[in-house]
Amino acid sequence: MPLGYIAKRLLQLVAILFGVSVVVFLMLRMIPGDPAQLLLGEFANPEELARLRTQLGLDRSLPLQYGIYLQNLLQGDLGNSIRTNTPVAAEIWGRLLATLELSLAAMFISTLVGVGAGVVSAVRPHSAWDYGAMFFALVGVSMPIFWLGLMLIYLFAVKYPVLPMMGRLPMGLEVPAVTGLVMVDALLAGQPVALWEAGRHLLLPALTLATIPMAVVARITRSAMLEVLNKDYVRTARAKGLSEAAVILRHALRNAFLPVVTVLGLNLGLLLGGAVLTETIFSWPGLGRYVVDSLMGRDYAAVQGCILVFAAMMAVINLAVDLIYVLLDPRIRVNE
Amino acid sequence: MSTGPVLDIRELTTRFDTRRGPVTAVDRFSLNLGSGETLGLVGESGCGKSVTALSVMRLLPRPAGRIAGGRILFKGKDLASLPESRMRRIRGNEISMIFQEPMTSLNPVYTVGFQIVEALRRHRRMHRRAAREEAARMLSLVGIPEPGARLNDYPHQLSGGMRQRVMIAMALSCRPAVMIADEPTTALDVTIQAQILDLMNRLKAEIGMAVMLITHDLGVVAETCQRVAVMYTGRIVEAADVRTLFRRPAHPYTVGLFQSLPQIGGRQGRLKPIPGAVPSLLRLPPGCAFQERCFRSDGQCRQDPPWTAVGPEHWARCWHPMEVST
Ligand SMILES: Nc1ncnc2c1ncn2[C@@H]1O[C@H](COP(=O)(O)OP(=O)(O)O)[C@@H](O)[C@H]1O
Ligand code: SF4
Ligand SMILES: [Mg+2]
Repeated sequence: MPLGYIAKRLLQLVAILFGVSVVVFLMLRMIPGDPAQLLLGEFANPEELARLRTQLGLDRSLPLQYGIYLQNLLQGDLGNSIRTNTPVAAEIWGRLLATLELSLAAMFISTLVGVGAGVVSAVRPHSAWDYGAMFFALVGVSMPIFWLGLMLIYLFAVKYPVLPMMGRLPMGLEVPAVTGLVMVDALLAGQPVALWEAGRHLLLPALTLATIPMAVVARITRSAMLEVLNKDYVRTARAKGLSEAAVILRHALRNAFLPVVTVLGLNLGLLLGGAVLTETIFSWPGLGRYVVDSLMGRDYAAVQGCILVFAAMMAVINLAVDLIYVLLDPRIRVNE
Repeated sequence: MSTGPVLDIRELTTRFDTRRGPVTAVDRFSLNLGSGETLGLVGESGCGKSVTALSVMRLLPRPAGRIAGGRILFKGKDLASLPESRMRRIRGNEISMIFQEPMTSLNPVYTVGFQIVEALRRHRRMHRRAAREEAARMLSLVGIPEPGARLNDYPHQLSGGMRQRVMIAMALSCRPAVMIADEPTTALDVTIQAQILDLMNRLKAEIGMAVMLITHDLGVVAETCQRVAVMYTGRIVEAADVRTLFRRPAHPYTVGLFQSLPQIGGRQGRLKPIPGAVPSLLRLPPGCAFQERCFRSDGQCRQDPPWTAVGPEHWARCWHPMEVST
């Protein structure tokens, strides 16, 4: 992989994050009225307001204010929450990992099932399997997440109570936090019971979050595979005497991945939006729920921090998608 | 030259199910290929050359295409009825094929080396190292400079001519007894065409294989083939050795082909395209499919014309072949 390209993309990433920080900074200043008042609420007394103004640097020029803000930001200081008066950065970090665990699980499920269903559909087009899978995919993309989550809870936690419906672990069970991903931490700590429980807790929310991307992936994989299976190089692979599995998995699917990755990248925003809803439904202590709670509580520092982190996440994921794309397609590698 | 045919195709019939009904793309096609021989299969676009080749390879597009009759005898086995798993051991190993489109026939996401090694490992059960060395040897055999370095190239880094050389290297890597080359030079420009044909001629002798060269270019046939068969609407209409066919074509269609070409075989005179158009396979006239365009046709031509010996080792499917006796 070309280092120049990666360096260029990393610089772009820095530029984007810089831009986002400006926007987030200005957001609070642009709101009509006094930010200190906004932050402290209408019943704050004048001394408190004055202290906060100096603390926020509101008595200085805008560029200087931004300088201070940026300096704090670079030190990992996102300000304090007005609800808990604790540093927002620490709150966000823990929740970010919860969201990450949920999203990774959803990504894993949706890619595995989506690609698998798409490939089988493309290899046996117009078969009963194909029609069935594509029907479910159609239903899947148009499924309201909220409704789906509630239905899953009703079915698997209420009517047939086989799975937990909220949280990451049962009450009283804890694993030492190393990575912040509970399943990984349970594995690291050698606690099979915790691993099992964490997996059970993850299953319903991950399924809920995975459904739409799974349906999208299945449909794209099918159409990409149908196209690729007609390519000359697939015929060449068969003419070599390769087994059908090698032809389909090694030669066709590898090429069909390109459009799948592209569309997945484009749909990441949807996935994040879905995470907000899913976390709310399943009381998953992640960023999505945190941002909702912060908005409700007018916790501006927290909201600002979340926006920044969401933007950074989108940028990093987009970068990752592009790099995967470069890895998958040698033609891009050289052109850049 | 030969010790009996290595490939013996008998009455091969291949059909496609299309929306507008079944189409017989190859109709009772019989031909044999002696070992070490180069045979040209010529005819206009759409006459069934590629479908014939794909039938032999059993690579017809599914589910539309299928072999509807006949036998394809190779080393005593009938490929037309061989189970797919056994056919896989023949493809790319004992019979291999190269295609018209070098630009799209290699997989863009794998290196050239990977794609050649893949064939070697599949059929020769070679270890990675040995297979890579063999792949490099194949690349140098097909005249690619710095073969060791080229192994790591991706197809898009090579020109069309180079890619076709890679395809040839891949097809020949397991030393097949038969190579089917489906218009291997059509997509290349003229100087490269000549180089590739030279290369194929040289390798054929070196490896000792038989070649079925499919082309619509009679010039290519003249340069490379010993025998030639002419196809029209899915049927062979004439077969002879190259000198005979070029000097004394017997089938009116072959005559028309020569007259529509500039200066083939030293023949001078005005270009005369064959009148009319190739009839649709869905609506062939009864009897000879060429009758509507033929300058010798008469009422008899509405009957199926017989496969007639018109000279030594020279046949034509015609009621009124040209006078060819010397
Ligand atoms: N995939 C297909 N589906 C239906 N008919 C086909 C298909 N491929 C080829 N045919 C039919 O077979 C005929 C011969 O095609 P082909 O062998 O490709 O001709 P060529 O001599 O140019 O190689 C075509 O005219 C067409 O009618
Ligand atoms: S059979 Fe009749 S129509 Fe056909 S080529 Fe011969 S003379 Fe012409
Ligand atoms: Mg063709």
